[in-house]
Amino acid sequence: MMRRTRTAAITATAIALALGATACGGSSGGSGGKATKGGTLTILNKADYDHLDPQRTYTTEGSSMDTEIVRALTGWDESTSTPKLVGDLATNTGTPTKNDTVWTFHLRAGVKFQDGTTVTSQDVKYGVERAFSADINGGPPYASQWLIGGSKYKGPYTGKSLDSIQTPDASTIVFNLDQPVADFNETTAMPGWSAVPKAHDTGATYDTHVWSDGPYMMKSYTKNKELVLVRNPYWSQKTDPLRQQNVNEMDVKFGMDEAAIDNLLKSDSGSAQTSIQQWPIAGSDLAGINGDKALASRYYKIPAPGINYLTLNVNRIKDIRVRKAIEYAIDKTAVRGAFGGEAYGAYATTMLNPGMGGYKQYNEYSSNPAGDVTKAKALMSQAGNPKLTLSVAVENTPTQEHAGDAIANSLARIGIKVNVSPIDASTYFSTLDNTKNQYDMAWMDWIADWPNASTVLPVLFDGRQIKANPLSNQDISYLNDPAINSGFDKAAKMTDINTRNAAYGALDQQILSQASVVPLMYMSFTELSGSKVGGVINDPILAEPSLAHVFLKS
Amino acid sequence: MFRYLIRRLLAAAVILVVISMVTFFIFFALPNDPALLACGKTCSPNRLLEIRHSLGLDKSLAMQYWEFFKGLFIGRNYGDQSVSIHCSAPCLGMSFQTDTPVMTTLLGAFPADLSLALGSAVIFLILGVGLGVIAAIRKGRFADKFAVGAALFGVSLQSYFVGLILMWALVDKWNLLPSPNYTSLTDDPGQWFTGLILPWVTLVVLYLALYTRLTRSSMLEVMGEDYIRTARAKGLSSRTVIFKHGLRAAITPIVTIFGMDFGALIGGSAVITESVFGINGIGKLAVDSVTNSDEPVILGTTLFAAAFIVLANVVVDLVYGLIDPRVRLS
Repeated sequence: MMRRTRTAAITATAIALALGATACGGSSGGSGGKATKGGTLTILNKADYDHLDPQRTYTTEGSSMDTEIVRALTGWDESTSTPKLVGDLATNTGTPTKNDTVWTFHLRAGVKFQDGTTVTSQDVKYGVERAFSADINGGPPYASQWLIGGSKYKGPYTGKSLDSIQTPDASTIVFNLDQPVADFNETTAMPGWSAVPKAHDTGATYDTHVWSDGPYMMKSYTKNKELVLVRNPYWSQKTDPLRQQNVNEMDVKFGMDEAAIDNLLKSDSGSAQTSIQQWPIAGSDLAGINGDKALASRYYKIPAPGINYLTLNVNRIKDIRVRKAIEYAIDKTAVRGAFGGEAYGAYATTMLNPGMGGYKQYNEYSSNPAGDVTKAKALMSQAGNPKLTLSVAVENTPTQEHAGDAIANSLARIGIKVNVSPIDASTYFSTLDNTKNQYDMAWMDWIADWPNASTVLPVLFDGRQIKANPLSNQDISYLNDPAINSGFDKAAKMTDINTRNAAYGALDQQILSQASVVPLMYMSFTELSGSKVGGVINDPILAEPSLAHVFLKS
Repeated sequence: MFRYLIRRLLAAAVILVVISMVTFFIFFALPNDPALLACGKTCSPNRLLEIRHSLGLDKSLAMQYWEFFKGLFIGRNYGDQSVSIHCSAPCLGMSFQTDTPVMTTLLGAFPADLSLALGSAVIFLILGVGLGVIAAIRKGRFADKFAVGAALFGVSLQSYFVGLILMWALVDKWNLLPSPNYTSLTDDPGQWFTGLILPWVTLVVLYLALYTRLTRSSMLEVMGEDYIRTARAKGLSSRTVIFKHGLRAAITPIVTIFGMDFGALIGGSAVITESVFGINGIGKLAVDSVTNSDEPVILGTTLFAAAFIVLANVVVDLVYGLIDPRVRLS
């Protein structure tokens, strides 16, 4: 999933300095209570979604909003504490055959589009095929990576269809993959694996014309201004195990300053009582909100399947003893302080998050999050105490530059001089993903596409992508270890979930033993709502407040 | 007068073409690749080529500029497949980010800037000139010191500071005003007015000082002229002397500055005020487009703002002729 970083705007800093803690009326809220019908929920967002076209969205905010409008083949039932994969548009979570290379889904009967027509498997096939067109860009790469013939197919606008997606009848769809994918049915919970009726496809402008088969449909959408969703009259609770249709309308307003949104929701005045936010609370506002007991009932702290980490470029810092010394020397308490402190998330020692398939608890390096300088110095002297000056890339935001300083101060303790290189936040990832970049270390974060190691470890550490995608390489450590690469191939072919999870857990530890990356924090995201908003579910898959059961208290 | 106008408008058109070329080529000198941004996280080299083609970025720079220029007069079609989009003339291009014609986006954002500029300009012009006149005729006395001091205090504050403080106090704390927001005047005049009070006040605080000080110094200069002394000697009432003889002459430099400020305000220069209050105007659009490497929108907002500033200058020159009998356009 698209990395979403919590950057503090100038304005946010200014208001925090100017106001300190603001007083606010007590709220009588909580997510509990009986669902009531009606009313308009206001959603206050600092920016518009990347896309709402289900085949194009690749951010947590866009995917979360799409859940209300379109139904993917599978989905996550989050009504209990551990999310459970269930069939959404499909009757169940799919049937794998031929060693997980062929996946069959049957559609639920009675699911209808907003004009009353029935959703068919051909609509789903057409929807998935759209993502192959160059006009429908920005979305996840899985369809083109895995479906047979996907690398050559150019989308349905050319008049051709993709033969590896079969629709034997109107309610059955079969995907033929060129490799075994044991967790394919978790991929299909992403919004792109959904139905688009050919007659209502408007190509590149589908973002503002999404044809709904979910509980809400678009009434109006002016990009960067306002999106109004109203009830889809043809949606039926009987066919939907995941969602409810409580509020009459969802009114999404874009473009307000993030500190202004935080303050408005905190104040709970007027229309703020029936409002919620989808972008996280600004870093500079977080400390004041996190500990505020009066806000606790409408404060959502959602553990994300995400990790905040520091890459060590193994091609530039060649001596593993130096890299291990860095692992021991980094003071994670100082780095976390820059990101907002305890509210930001727990200290990390692994690349996989707790709660994610494949997570294995271990710690290769210092047990004290503040670092172990003695151990680090010993490693440096083993390496011959080299006189080193290293660069670390961070985004050019106050938060990240402070984190860069914390890294520099940590490494100064073992005689390494660090130059902090702030890079424009809007081009940060495209600069770092380009294999021509010249940085020794880089700050990074990553949110998994679904809670499985397969969307973290191979994506970030399979060294074969350095050559294959030189402009969008995600292996910023430049780790290219044949043993680890083949470990990924083997794990991908394993069909038994427990064996596979164990294999990924071992790979996680293998990667850390190469000292190619310093895991810093497991991320969590935080949002506020007004006191009259009920039924909000913490969605740990997208790290968003899920609106699937949202209602307004009378 | 008519020939003068034609000449000025032609010159303005040339300036706009030059600005469009400079903006266009500067953008491509930047290390951003809009196709790479559009492509998403894991982008294969092949896919990148296809997206470059789909966005028209595979053609030569000169060719791309020529297509943009042509589109201004005859419109353009985007995409060569079954789902192509037409952008009708005058076509400023299609946003890479939102896939909507830039012209539509600009026209959508424009009423917000116009409301913001008009409302605040009325207040800061009346207050600024008024305070300036008072300060000038009571030079050195309390009223002068107070007016100049208050105006200076205002201009020293930053708009995000003023804006957020006002919002916190009047909206979040005491609930005196609804949360600021732009509602179209034709939709609901009441909401349009209440939603814009805070943004107006914020802009007034920023501009007031300039106009107060400008009027004060201009008035002081004029009031020292011989003809003012003559007017007084003739026995004219001091009101006639100040307003008819003094202010009318003193206002010329103020009109010049105002023309440029107003053009810039309409063109989106109140960007911080816009973003503090969540008003989606042209300024915010421009900033977002730079962040997103959305070249067609960068070009569109730049040209739009430039057009207003150039136009405002032409209007100012014409207004000179009306307010100052000494100026004759030829």
